[in-house]
Amino acid sequence: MECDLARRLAPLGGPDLEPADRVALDEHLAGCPRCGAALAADRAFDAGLVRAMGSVPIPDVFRARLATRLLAARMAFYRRLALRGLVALLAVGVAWGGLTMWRRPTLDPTAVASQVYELGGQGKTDAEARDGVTGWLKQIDGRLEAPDEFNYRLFAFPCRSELQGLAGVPTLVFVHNDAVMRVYAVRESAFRDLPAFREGVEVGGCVVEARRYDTMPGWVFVVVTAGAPPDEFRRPNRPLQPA
Amino acid sequence: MEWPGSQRRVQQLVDAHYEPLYRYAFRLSGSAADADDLTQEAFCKAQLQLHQLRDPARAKPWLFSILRNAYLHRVRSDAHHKRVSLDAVGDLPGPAPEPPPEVDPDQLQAALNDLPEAFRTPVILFYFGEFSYRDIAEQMDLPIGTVMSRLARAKAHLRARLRPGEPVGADRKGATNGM
Repeated sequence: MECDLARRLAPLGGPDLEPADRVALDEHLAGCPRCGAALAADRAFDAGLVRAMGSVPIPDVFRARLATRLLAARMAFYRRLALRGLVALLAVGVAWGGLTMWRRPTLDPTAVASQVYELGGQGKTDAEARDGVTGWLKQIDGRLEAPDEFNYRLFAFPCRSELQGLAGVPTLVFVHNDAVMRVYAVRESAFRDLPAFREGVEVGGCVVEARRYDTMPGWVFVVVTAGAPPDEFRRPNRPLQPA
Repeated sequence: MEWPGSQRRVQQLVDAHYEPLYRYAFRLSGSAADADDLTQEAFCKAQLQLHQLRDPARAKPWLFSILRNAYLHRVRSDAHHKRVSLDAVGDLPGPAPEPPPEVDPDQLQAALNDLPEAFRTPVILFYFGEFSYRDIAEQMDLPIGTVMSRLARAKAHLRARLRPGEPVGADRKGATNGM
């Protein structure tokens, strides 16, 4: 190996020098006093540089400052995350609200009037109105039908209403002058004392009855009449059958 | 969005590397205040990008790389400090001046401050970080031959600047070592 090449390769360390080159270099350095001396001086300088390079005092408070900064950065990240989540939630809420507003139906007086006519008893025979009510009840439960005893010419409209905590109770509303009768269709098991509730009860001008029909086992019709006796809402010449 | 690494892992990283990283930052920037900021910034970035460190054994070069990038990002211009040009310095080390018995750290920093960053970084990584030429080439994204050349030139500059009797920092007048 020539001195020129040896001087170029000498600074290279273990991983940077091929094994064969390392062997050749070592052989040259062992046999060449000039290159050997230059390498020794170079290495002494390198050692001095390494010592001086690492001679940097670390401030006492630096470690604590670093820990504080890292914690602050972590907290800032979580705050940004929470804010983004909030913004996303808000965006979803606004989008949902917008969609809901956009999807609102337009009010069609003709359709509304038609619906009232179809469901109500006005302008219909008793049988026609009763059939309409039966059709509505059967959508809720196939066993249900319009009780035969009522005068369906007085029938106003059906709805789903709340009855003492029960939601969505099928309800038939009858109107006669100033009097109103509401007929709630509930399951026998809906109330604890319902099986024992057989006689009608009068409370402050209202009459509350429980009506059962053989054709609709398991169902009870709770009849609430106000403003007139219950018989006013029954079909003429149709005596009231005991429950 | 990148999640910060677990506090335990970050703690381990800090405990193992904060001192060498601070010293590297100091040698790179020449200022304790900048070293403080740069080291904190590097660890904050590392905390956020910890998932990128797949091999824990590579933590040191990874951190050094982050810090160097942070330093380069800060340095907009070298105009505020006149750097010496090493263009006239050859690759092949000529007969070296008598090496000093011991290198003064302050004198060393003044000599490092004179160097352009492209030469300063390899010197610091080699002598302080004890990185191999290959590691340095990988860190700086340079061919290994370029790293060798820059190291040789920078070292020749340091040898000349660290001669006994050589003035330190602002006391210097004129160029050194054939520049």
